[in-house]
Amino acid sequence: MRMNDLIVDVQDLSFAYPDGSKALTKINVKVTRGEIVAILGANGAGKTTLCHHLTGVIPNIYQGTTEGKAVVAGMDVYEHPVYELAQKIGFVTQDPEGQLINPDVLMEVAFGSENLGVPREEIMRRAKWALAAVGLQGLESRSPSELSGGQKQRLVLAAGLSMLPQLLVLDEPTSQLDPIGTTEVLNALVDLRKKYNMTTILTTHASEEMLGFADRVIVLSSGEIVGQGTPREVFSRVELLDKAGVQVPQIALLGHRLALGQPVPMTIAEGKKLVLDMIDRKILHPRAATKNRTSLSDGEVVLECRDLTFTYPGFPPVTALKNVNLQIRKGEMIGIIGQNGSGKTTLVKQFLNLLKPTLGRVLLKGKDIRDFTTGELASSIGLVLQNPDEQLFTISCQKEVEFGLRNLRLPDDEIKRRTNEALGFVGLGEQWDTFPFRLSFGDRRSLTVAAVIAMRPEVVIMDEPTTAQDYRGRHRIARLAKELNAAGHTVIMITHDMNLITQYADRTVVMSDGEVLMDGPTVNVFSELDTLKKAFIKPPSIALLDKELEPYGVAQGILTVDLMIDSLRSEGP
Amino acid sequence: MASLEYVRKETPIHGLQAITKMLLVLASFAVSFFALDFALLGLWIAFLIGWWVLAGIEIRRIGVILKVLLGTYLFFVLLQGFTYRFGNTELFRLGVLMVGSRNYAAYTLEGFLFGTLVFMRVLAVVFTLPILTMTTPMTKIAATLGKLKVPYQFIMIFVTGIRFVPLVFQTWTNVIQAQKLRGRDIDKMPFYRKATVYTSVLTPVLLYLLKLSQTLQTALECRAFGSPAARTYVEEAKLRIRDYVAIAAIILVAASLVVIKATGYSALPYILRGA
Repeated sequence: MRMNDLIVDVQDLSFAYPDGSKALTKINVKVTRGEIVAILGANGAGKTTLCHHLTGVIPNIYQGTTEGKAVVAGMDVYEHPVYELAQKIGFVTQDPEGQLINPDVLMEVAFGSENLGVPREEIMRRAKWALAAVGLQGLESRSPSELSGGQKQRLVLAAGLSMLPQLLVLDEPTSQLDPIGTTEVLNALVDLRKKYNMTTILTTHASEEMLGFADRVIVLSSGEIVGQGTPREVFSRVELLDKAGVQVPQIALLGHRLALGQPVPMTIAEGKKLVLDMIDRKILHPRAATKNRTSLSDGEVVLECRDLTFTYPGFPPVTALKNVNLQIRKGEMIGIIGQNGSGKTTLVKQFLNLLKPTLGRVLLKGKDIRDFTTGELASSIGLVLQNPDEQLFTISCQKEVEFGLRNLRLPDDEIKRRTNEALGFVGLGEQWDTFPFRLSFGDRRSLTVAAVIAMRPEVVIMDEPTTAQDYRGRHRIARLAKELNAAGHTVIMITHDMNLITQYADRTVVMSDGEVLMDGPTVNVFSELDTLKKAFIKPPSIALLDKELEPYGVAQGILTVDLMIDSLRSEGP
Repeated sequence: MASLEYVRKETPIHGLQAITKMLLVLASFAVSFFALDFALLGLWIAFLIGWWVLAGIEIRRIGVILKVLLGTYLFFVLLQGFTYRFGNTELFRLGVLMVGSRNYAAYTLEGFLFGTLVFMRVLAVVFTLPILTMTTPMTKIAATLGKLKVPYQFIMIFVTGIRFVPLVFQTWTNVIQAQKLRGRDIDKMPFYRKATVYTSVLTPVLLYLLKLSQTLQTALECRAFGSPAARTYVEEAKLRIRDYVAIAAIILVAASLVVIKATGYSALPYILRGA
């Protein structure tokens, strides 16, 4: 490796925040020009802190104690202000809301290039390309505040892309994107590498997407690098990933569990080859039927939308829901999926009167919800919204959970019991007296979930509760939802994580452009691959592998690794 | 302030360049200073309302502005009513407070009219603001200020300040919403209890905005804000025929009013001798 090929040279970098918490220990990273590097790790592993060093945000904006050095694009980050580094290094942070500065989409994308003095025509060309790359073409004159959470994330990403830096550092750039949107964004980064030899370093929890995309994967755990190599090398080390709290790609996990000690398959083709080989050798015996649930609950209807239409006022007005008819029954566990901006959040906001229908009605157990206030509805329907920071308003985690319980006027001992239980459920039991804003983003999300579930509403709605959560956090929340469901609560979960939906939801509602495109048992919905594609949904790899194995007698409708193993290891139907 | 946000519409005023509308604001200042007269200011305000109509701004917003400025009006008419130096026609008195030959406890008709006139001067300026801010995207205003060689740091403070106003309202609404979602039945609370809730919302809103401002600082610097490079602008500020027509109209009307006043015209010559 020639020295002038290096764009990142981090040597023995250690960092501690002013409160003494150690975030990075002896980090050594070298990245060559044109490389695409993914940094994986659980929440709190040090990914964002490392990004802040690569972009000069530490020490220029946030301070702490540092040892070692970081030279990026030929500049020591400790010797240059951020705006100087920004001429060569682009940085897109995790929270899109705080990065939107301008009044319309086009200006937002153009802002960085304008500051760099790029000629107008070139800025327009770049903006057009970047907006198309993230799927926001046609929205140039919209105000960023009118966009959905996922669309805002696409926009800040487009703003970073259009500056065409030598190095692009992206902190969880796809955490709020739908699966096909994620693929499109990653393709755009590959395109930039081809055209401009641009280097990309990104942090992510989406291990699976890094296969076939990243040249190199770095695994961080508690501020230290615990693994590094090509995606194939790193994802073969299943125990290491599991220990570091990093999700193992489904096909690799299947291969590891089926054939311990053999090379781990990564792609669907490799997985198919391994399974067929083991079937041929009579090691596996596929069963024709699955244990998947294919019928829906026939319980009492608790929530119902009748011909529900909702239009956001504006110029032009945006119709976010079009004639939606939906019945939600007691005890159901429902997943709502769909592309960014497809109307998922708008739909659930109608259930609590946060938005009022333009046409049609929403009924709670047969009663029009317009007759109730949101405060009244909250005892029956709990909604956890997307942005945790606007849902935390007390001085400690304990008080945060107690807030809703006190509004329910419960006795003190019951409040205490439920608070402890809810905090324990989400893994914050030991942080009961921590100030909520001192928690990590993922933990702040967990806290908002705890605050709502402690109220034990009949219906619990979680709007993207797993965004920016690591693998364990995501499953912890989904398991919690499942436990609530088992205890008799109706649970509705909006998420882009198809692994969670297929593992935990019995029924799936697919939304597309404000309409319900599909609604049925999860296994049935995920067998309609063509329709899913129209809604920008990519099924989990295991479902695609299952489809590939159909001609070989493998049961269809398998959506999880556990079910696949169960199906392949049986002796017969 | 929220009622002055940019509203996307297709009207002749929306199609004008920001510089044209800035000229209207300047002309308003000139008229309010050099044509201080009921009839002349009334004509100018009527001219501005014409712009409002052309810009598709709802006339009911005049009521909102008047409501917001009611305190200012009361202040002007009370102050001038008791202190206007040419005040002769006494309407009532609160007692006797003689300073020289003037009783400052006496409220005069001339003072009341002069206070009203000063308020009209304020209205003449305030009525131009919606025409500028509700029909011009902030980026166009920023680009125009940039072309006028205003330092970009000042422009950015102005633009981000404006950006934060709706964000404060939005965050406020979202925090209230989140409290409702946790069973706080704010909608059914009596007014005094609502006030307590609103006070408790202030802390999380401020904390969130502080955090947001730090993210915003990071975002600004990471997008090369403050870079020594000569900044370019995507927004073009070239004047078109409609701008020239509007500029001619502004100059014609404003200059006429100022000239009329300069020639000694006054709608109430005997009462408001000093105006």
